[in-house]
Amino acid sequence: MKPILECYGLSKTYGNGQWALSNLNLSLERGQIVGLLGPNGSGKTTLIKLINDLLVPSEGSIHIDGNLPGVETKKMISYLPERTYLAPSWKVRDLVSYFEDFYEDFRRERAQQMLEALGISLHARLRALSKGTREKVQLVMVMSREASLYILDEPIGGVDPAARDYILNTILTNYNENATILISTHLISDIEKILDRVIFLQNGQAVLNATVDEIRMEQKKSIDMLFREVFRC
Amino acid sequence: MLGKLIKYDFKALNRYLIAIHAMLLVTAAIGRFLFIKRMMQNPGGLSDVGLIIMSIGIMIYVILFMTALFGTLMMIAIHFYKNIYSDEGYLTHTLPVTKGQLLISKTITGSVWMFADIVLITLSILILVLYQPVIQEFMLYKDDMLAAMGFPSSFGYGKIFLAVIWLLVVSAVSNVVMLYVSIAVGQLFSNHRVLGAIVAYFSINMIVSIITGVIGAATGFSIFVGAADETFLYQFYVKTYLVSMATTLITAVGFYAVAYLLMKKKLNLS
Repeated sequence: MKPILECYGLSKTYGNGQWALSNLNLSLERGQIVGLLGPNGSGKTTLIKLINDLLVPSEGSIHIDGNLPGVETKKMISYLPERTYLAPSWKVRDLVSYFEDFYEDFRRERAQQMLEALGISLHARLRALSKGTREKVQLVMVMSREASLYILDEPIGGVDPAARDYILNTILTNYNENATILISTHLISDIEKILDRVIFLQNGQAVLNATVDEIRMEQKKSIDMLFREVFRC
Repeated sequence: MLGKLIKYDFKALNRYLIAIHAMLLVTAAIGRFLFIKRMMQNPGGLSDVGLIIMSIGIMIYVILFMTALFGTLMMIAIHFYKNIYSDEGYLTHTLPVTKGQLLISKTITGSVWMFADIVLITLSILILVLYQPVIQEFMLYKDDMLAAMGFPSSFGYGKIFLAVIWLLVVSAVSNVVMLYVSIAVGQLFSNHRVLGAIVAYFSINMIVSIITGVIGAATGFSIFVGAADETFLYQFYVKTYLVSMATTLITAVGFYAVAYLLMKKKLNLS
């Protein structure tokens, strides 16, 4: 099987002379949860946008299951952006129908189950929900797809610690063993226990790409500690 | 997938536009039966209070008329901007559809509403003014009017009607893609993207007006210079029509292509 994600010499500049990503080479295998970690401005969001075809690379290329970003790759990627993209006038059930209409791998029952568990009504208007609840709704939508690659940009940033546990649990229980999850976050200690692998990004380049076990064995440190060491200001 | 995109684009546009146009038609109907019909039957028979109420009625109609006219344009522009370039774009652009499908869906739905807007506004005017005497007078003089405008007597109103409809359809599409290309150009700015879109819209509008003005004048001039007989007015209509149809089509295709390329190559959601 081809790797789910491959980047070759991937570079991106926004035309201001600075490179958000510079010559990034990366390959992700299937069936693992990967932490994409790095300080602000290290290129995490740029990389995620490039994978999702929201930006065009300046140089190099990205392959998702061997395909360039496009219709085919969007069918297999389930993406949670850091922004809330919900139209405020919609009801939760409109969003469920929208996902069902466009994504063949969307599972309505799964979404309804999770919404129920979180106490979110299908008839609630998105405008009336709190910011944290809207983030939960969005995550439920994303995790209700049977995707090959989940990309979660700051999935737990805006929610309380109790909901964090539920969300992490949701992530763990809702992906099949061939799927890969790429999580970008600052809250390393919270998600450390579910990660299989971490990638450290700095100045648009991968400075570390190792499994969590390797790091614990060789460095005898937690990811959180290693992160604080590598990126000390 | 295109069908689903169209469905959701209509859903977003219909929300306000149906209400605005329904209010316009209802106001026209009320105006017809409450005031104009009475005035036709008994001119001068309206009391002072009646006159005041009628003035308010006219004001409401004019406000709704303007709201429908500019509101449609605004709603189409706002929906495109929000759905493609605001935070909503994170979802729109990660749907398993091509950029071409996104743009064609928005062009179809926007053009349909732009065309429907003109039809419904015209309908509201007709509701107000179309009475038996008006129709009778028209029927009496319709052939003379045609002749006075310079059309051959065999021409008939059917062809003129069809020609106007076609021109309205083509201009509806052209106006909509001009909105879209302006918004896409506005996105090239790193800040003040909405302002950029507005400046782009007026700049593009001005350039197009100048070009079509020059082409129109040149066409008109060439016909007047070459005019040999009494059919020159008719020739003028036909030629002006064909030229404006062609320029509108060409600009529409050009705008569409530029909007598509900007969406594909220069997308950069903030």
